[in-house]
Amino acid sequence: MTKLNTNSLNPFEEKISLAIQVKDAPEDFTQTLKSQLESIPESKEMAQNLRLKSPKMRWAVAGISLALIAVIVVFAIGPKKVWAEISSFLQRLPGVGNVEDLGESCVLAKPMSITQEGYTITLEALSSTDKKSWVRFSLDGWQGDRDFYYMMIREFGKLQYNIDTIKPQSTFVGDIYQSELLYLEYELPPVCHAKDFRLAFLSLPASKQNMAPEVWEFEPKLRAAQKEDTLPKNDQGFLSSEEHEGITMQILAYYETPKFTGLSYRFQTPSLRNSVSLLGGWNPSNPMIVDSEGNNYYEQDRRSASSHFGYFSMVNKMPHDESFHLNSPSMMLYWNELDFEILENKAPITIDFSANFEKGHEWKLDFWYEYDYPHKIYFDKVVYRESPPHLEVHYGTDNDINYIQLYCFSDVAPLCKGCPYSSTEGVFRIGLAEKPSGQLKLGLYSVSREIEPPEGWTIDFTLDELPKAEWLPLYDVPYIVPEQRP
Amino acid sequence: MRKAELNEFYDEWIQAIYRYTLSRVKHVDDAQDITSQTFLSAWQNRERYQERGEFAAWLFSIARNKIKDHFRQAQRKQNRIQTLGDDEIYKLSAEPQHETLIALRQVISTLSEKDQELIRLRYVAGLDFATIAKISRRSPAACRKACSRLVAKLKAHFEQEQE
Repeated sequence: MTKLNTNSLNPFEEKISLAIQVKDAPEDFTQTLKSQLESIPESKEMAQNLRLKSPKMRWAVAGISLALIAVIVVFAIGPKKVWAEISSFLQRLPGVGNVEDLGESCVLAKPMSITQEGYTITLEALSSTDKKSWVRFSLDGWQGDRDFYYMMIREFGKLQYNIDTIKPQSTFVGDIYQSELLYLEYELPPVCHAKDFRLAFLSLPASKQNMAPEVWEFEPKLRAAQKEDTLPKNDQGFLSSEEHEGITMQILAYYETPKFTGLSYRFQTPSLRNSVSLLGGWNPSNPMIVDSEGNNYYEQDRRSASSHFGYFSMVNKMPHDESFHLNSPSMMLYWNELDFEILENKAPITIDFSANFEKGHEWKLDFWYEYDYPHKIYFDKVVYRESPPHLEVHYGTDNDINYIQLYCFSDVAPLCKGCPYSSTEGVFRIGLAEKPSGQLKLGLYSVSREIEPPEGWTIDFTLDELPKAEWLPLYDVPYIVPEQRP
Repeated sequence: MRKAELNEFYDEWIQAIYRYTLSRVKHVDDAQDITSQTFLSAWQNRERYQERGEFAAWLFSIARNKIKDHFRQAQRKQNRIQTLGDDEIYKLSAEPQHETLIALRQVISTLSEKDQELIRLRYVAGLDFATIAKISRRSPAACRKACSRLVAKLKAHFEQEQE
């Protein structure tokens, strides 16, 4: 149930409800919107069916693999040498990330634009490896500036791959909307060796009431990727804030166009393998950027990637001869167990059901699990309950948490095969088909926690102190091996 | 999510999203635009919903972001946000306790933005605490406690005003 049960309101709550009750949406509006939604084709689902895995999954698998490789390398040759070793053989190409051999990659020979009836679409960049491609367009000349229109482009702006066969295999990666310019990024299959390769926007419905031209077709000229196409490396570390509860904020790079400045930044936890994000909800904790005279540079847009990549915020153009103060009053720590080895084989808690026991039986755990310095969860006990049979896992924390998820593996708990269940009440329930007899393995899967230091995280900086990113730094932030903690 | 499911959710949530949005932006055209954007965005990103689980919480998160964008855009273009008069937004003109309710609404408008948001999600959008908790990334118990404290505070304040 997600709706409020109005019968449960007390008289004063009923009064509140009446006092602020707004008018309903007119029926003609709701009907029109409904028909509009119904008219949108389900082609996206078809496209998804054609892919073996979702791009998110591929990114996740790639990210986890890289993390595992990094861990192995750290143990093999020691943390200080890791970055030097990695950087000696990896090059970074915009959009596609690290490549081992530039000879297997290609890029767009030069940008190309098509202008029709007041709209200009520019194919700005393309990189391709033998595994995937990335392409970025900009769209200029937009008359209206309501989000409604660009959402419609996102929905309908399919890319056509290979002129003879339309393969809806392009995947929308992200967009940045700034004044009249809309940047669109897509992921594609490898294209370096594609014949008769073309890219086309098939239509822009809803633009000027469907008056926009139907097709923008690009025939990109590609060339082999070279050293100068790669992104600059940064192994010098980043500007960092002071540390609060083991967490620092870092500015990673800046990016600028004639009209705006973008900053990418992240929070670094000690292990850096965990996902963190800025606090959302109704207590927004947007980072504030103020110059030396107290002028605010309001965040206009924010994109997030993973914890390694951090965030990308767009603000008005920041001058180079000015000093700035960045402050983030709070952040939300999302911790996730990403180590498959731990998840599958090294669960920290094992409950043995081989001895006789009855309902109400308790297995004392008395176990602190340190999930990320200095954060930990206390596992108190597991209790067996009946009607229907289930287990209660009692836990506590040394600080407030927003939610927790556990994972478990067992032959005796059919609802408990690696699937996390969330609980916020200090007791976590695991359903069982019957009274258990084997073993059950338990561990912590994810935790989220809001952290609000008294003065937040702050960094004073000038743009010239930061690495400059040549591209929208959504996926191009270099990985830096974190410092080891006690 | 298939189209049929989306239609079902649409029928269930369109009014709640619209009312919530209208109570935030206080302009019928803007509320309709934002509501349209919210559902279009939901449809466009429907595969993400399957990962997140809770449809209402997800839908309200989209609406809240759209509303934030709406205010940011107005701020960026230095447009004055135009709002309509209360009569065009609120329902209560036929209520017998009309004056009392207007007074209560005024007291509510003096609350902090955070508290007003909780009131809106609970009593305008009509969400239960589990959903509010997901939207605001707090525990349901914390939301319930915050709401009951807020209602008690509001009641005391309102009764004081009435005296």
